[in-house]
Amino acid sequence: MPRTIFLADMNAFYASVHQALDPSLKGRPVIVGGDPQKRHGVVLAASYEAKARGVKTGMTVYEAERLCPEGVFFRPQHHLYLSFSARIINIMRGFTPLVEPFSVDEAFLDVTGCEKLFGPPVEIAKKLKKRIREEVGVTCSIGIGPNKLLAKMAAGLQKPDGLTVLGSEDVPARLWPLPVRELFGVGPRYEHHLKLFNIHTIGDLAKFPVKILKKRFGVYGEVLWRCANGIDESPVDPDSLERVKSVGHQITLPRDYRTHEEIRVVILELADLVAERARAGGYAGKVVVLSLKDARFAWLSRMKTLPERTDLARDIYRAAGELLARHWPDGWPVRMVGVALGGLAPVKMEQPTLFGEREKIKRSERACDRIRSRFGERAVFRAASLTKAGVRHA
Amino acid sequence: MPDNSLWEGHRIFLPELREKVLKRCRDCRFFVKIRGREEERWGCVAGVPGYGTLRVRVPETVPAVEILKKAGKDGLFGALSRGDPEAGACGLYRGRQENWKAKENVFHK
Repeated sequence: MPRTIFLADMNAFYASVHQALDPSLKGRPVIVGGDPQKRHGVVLAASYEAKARGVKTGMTVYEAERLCPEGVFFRPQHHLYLSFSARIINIMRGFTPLVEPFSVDEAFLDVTGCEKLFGPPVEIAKKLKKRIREEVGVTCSIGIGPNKLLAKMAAGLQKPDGLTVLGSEDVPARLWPLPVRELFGVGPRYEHHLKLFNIHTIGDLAKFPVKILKKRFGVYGEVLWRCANGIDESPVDPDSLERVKSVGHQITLPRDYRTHEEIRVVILELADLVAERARAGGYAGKVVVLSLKDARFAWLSRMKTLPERTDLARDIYRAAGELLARHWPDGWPVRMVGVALGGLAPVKMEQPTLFGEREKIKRSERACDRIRSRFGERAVFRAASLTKAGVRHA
Repeated sequence: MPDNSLWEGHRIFLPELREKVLKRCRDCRFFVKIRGREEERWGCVAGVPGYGTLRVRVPETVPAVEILKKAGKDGLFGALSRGDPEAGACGLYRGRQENWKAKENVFHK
């Protein structure tokens, strides 16, 4: 049975939220950007009025101010965006229970079989757009396709406030002439590698022998080839969010840190956050990943597999510290630090240690979780956070 | 079931949103029993001044008179209108803490 999949993509979501909250901003250039003093000074979102003046996502706030001096600038307020997102998802659930959020401003809906309730797919999409606009005050573009890939590609074809239907039969005419980087799953690195095979458009990729792609890029080569041909059997799976694979945190430092001693303080703070979140979800992980970015934005990511699963900050910190010592030269500047715990599995039963040392630490970390949950983040924290290198409670 | 890894691998998701998407009203700290003179009903006190900002601790049971005093008749009506434990969590969702397990049993009875 052919499926009918929607991808609803909110237009300039962060900026639209501010416009929805303050109607006097409608029609004015609204720019949401980080704090330049904390070195998060890039544009996260810009309304279409700002985009018309040349403001783009990812450019620095200074640049945006220069291009659009009359713009209204906001610091990001994630709690607002999350609230709006939750409201929008609840509206979507009024049409179908098969809603799979893809990001804060995008969600897939499987409306197969909903025709008898709400009419043909285009009518359902119009009703959905109308409800989101009237109840939340945000416009969205909806792509309709027989699978998630074509729905996603369709949503990107017409913005803002678009409604595009893309069937399998439209793939050669509408997708194949597009540059290969427009295809979902192709980033700058894959684009570069594909160009070495003289693959410049989605059509080139679709006609390329899949065997060679598979040999060069592994399984992902075949995935890309299938995408280029508009083939995607992935389900809209609302339960997929329940499967957590990793928990991670990263932070841009207020200045470049150079010594391992300083970086270790940040790693400890991040390990605390990661462990707390893992415990809150009832998970323990086996793989610790340390990511570091230097002053030139060069990226290093290394992982270490632990002998047993853990949800303790101490274990995560130790593993990340070892990775730091082994892979990052002392004295080399660090701009950003990230710590993640992967290979998660639900904690069901645990083998207690012989002398109960581990259980003791676990109890103390859980007690801290409860204190923070009740009295706030600042109620209890590491003494190291009070040093110059501490960033969480600075 | 066909594989969903292409999309799961590319998904960018804030943990806070994940919580809001997965949870129901029954999991929320603001979802309480509202006690009237003759009956008790479930309702949401997120919109009631004091409770919504967590300036005042949200108890397990709130007397209806308390909500009338703080938010008036409309506030009480609004709180009771959001009394479906199975409704999807809204943007104001805040997870329960220690006392949640006891409530979970009530809902599943």
